[in-house]
Amino acid sequence: MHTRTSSSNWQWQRSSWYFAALAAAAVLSTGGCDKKKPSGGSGSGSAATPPNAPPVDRSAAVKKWLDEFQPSTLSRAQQETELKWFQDAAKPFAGMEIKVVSETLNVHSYESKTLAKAFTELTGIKVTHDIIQEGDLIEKLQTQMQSGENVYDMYVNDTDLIGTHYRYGDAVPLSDFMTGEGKDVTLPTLDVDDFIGKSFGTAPDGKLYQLPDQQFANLYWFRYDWFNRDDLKQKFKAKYGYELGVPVNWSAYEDIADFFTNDVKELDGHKVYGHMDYGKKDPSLGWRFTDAWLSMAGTGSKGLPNGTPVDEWGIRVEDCRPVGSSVSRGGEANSPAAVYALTKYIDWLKKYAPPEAPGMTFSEAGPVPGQGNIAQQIFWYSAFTADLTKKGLPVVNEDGTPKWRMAPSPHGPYWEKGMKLGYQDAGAWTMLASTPPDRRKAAWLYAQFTIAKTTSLKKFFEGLTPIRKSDIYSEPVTKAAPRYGGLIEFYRSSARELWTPTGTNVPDYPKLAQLWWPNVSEAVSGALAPQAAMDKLAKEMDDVMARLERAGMKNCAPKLGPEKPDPEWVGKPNGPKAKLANEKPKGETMPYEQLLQSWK
Amino acid sequence: MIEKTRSNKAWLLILPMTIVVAFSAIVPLMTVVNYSVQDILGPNTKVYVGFEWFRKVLRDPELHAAFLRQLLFSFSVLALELPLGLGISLVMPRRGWAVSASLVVLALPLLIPWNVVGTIWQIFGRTDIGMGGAALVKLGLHYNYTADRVDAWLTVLVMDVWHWTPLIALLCYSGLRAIPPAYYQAAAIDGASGWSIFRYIQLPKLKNVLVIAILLRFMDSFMIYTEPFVVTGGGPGNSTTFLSQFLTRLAVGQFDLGPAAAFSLIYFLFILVFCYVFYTVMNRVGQG
Repeated sequence: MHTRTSSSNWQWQRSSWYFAALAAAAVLSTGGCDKKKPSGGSGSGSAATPPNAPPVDRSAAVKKWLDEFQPSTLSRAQQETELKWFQDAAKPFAGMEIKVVSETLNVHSYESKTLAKAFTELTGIKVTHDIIQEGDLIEKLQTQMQSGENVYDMYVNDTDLIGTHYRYGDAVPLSDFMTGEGKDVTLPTLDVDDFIGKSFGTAPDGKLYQLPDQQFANLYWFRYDWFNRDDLKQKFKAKYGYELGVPVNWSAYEDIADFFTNDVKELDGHKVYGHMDYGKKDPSLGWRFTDAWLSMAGTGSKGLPNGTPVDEWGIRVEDCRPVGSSVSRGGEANSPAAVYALTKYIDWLKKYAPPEAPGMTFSEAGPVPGQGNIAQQIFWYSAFTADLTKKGLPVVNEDGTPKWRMAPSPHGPYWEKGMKLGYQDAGAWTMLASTPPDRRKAAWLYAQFTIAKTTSLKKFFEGLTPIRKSDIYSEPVTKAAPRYGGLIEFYRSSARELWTPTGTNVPDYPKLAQLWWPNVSEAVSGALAPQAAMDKLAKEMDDVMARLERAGMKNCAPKLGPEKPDPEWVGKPNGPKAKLANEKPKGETMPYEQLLQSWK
Repeated sequence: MIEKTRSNKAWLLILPMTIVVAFSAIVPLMTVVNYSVQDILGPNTKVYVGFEWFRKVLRDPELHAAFLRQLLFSFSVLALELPLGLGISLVMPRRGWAVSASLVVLALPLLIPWNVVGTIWQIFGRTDIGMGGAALVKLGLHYNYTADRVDAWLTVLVMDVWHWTPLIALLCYSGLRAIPPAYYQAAAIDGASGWSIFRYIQLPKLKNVLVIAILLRFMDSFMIYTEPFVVTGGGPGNSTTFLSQFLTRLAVGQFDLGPAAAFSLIYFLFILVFCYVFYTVMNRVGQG
């Protein structure tokens, strides 16, 4: 889930008479200077304790905050030991002001409002934890990467960027940092192997660059109560010849969408729809595709966490080097499977979603299922579990349990066993090499504080974005599981390994991701046919990769392969899949209860 | 004969302004020029590419389309807002409490931030919850600015007219109020008609005001970004995508500084040339 906010924050303020300055400012917002500030640019950090600062009773702070950090997988005594370790490790940095940033999610609000305050009271390091739109966050990150100026001391950045960080060499390998420069500020009980998303932030060199702070998956969401209504089940079976249940393939999803939108039409006096999506021309439209939509249709090769040699963006990679995304270079961005994925997205948006959906962005469409008139959604982020379990919503029972469930995403006709089935990502702590060493040490202490076993279980209940195995299998989570609509069952199953992030193949995520939404938008409007839109996208991605090849990258730079006629690639082993004669096989569904059993 | 003493100290008086202008305009502009001939991928990853970005920008069919769209939009805006603004200023009251009331009402749209204007119209035009959109649908019209290109275009145009016509009206009103009463008295003595007064007294006297209004509205509408971005995002497809959106996507979204810099310079030069030509022509017409 990258950059998933409206980008209205990119709005310019115009000045009628000073366009020159404005046009320059758009380009210059990162600064044109390569000089690195020795002391960082984020806040007025200083390692000295302010001379007039009132004395703070740090041991009282430990007692106070222990009450907040319940429940925990640690005993109270173990929690106290961890907190005291933070206090001791932070002594050289007491009085320093650090600045970190993350995107707008409930879990980060908890960090910003509560954990940052706790850390400051416990250690004397003043933390400013900014919460900004993901688009802005990427802009800040790019500013720091391109200018070398320290903007933030650490970032919670999606692991979608692991391929970018590794190739540019701008991020500090945390595995090196923890055993080297930052050994004295690394929590002995951090237990990196406990993180379920550890592999997400690990680059091809085997080093950890990003450590998860919150994790989420993109799953299928449906109204469990409606799917269990006998009248609807009978009506559905009579029309389609199979049971109404969790769709296993896209044919079933399409049938169910059609059924609710065009056959059921109204339930309890309210108009209902069999599908929800969004289609406004906006950067968030790109995430709808770059977050593994093509692989759900079956684009790409077999292989986990990402297809080899072709991944879900259609990028072909050989020996860690991207060689092209066009079919003519062995990629699949404009292959029949990719075109099918785009076509189905447009068809369903126009035929089965509410009429206002094509004009919505990701953030506008997100709350719509909670309003109670959507039967199912194929592309739903579990990061919104907390928002859809609030009492009083039409999709929540009076006892607080949800009327909905989440389940594995159905797959398209091109999908084969052995391929990834969906998208999962982690917002992960990321340290840039351009941050001064003393500042990154202090920031690293805070980062660990937000993911330490002392705080992580409490944080899980605030945001429902699990990061630690120990939390997921804990007793408090077991007790709470019925309230979360299948979230815990998903994270306890091995099936979650089929949901993976964008991976290491994308060499420059910000530049390449920005190519998707304008092209998708043209296809949505009908200005371009899906094939033409994907052809254009594939060519633009190849052009950017050619530039990266020309400029050179620190590791695994792209090396475009020679172009060949499409027939030399299509349908060949490890090549793009040929067009299927029948793209709509018979629909398959599965009872939700049976699905849960298969997860155990 | 007394010899004049020469001193260059007077140059020091303009030094502060020179420094301010250098830092606020010249240095940034030169930096943009510097960027425009490079492919910049990081602080240590830059490649000199000469005029590659200029060639690419000038040959990009999407930019050609956006440029034509932008011209059409700017001229449509001028064609609608100028007569409307002028007309409103002519019928505005000249004395009493109604003057203050009408000035306040006219100024209201101008006081609303651009992104709020966009949000207002985004909601107003929605067919499910928006007063305007729902009303049009109730009237039997197939209106949906999120899916129909013409509807989207018209919505953005009407929004701009709503937002900026008051500026033209206020400028013209101030120009009308500055015409000395003697002109009107002379016209009355001559028995001039209302049209003659407008054609031979008011319009010539408003010439300078109208030049300013046209320049302001042209430049502003040519740089429009926020309002259509909020309402349509530039869609459906590219139907309401204007030049600023291309620049923003390149410079802020992709952080593609080289192409963005080249595009910025071309964009800037076009506006500069257009305004210079327009101003010169208008001046000559006035003198003629």
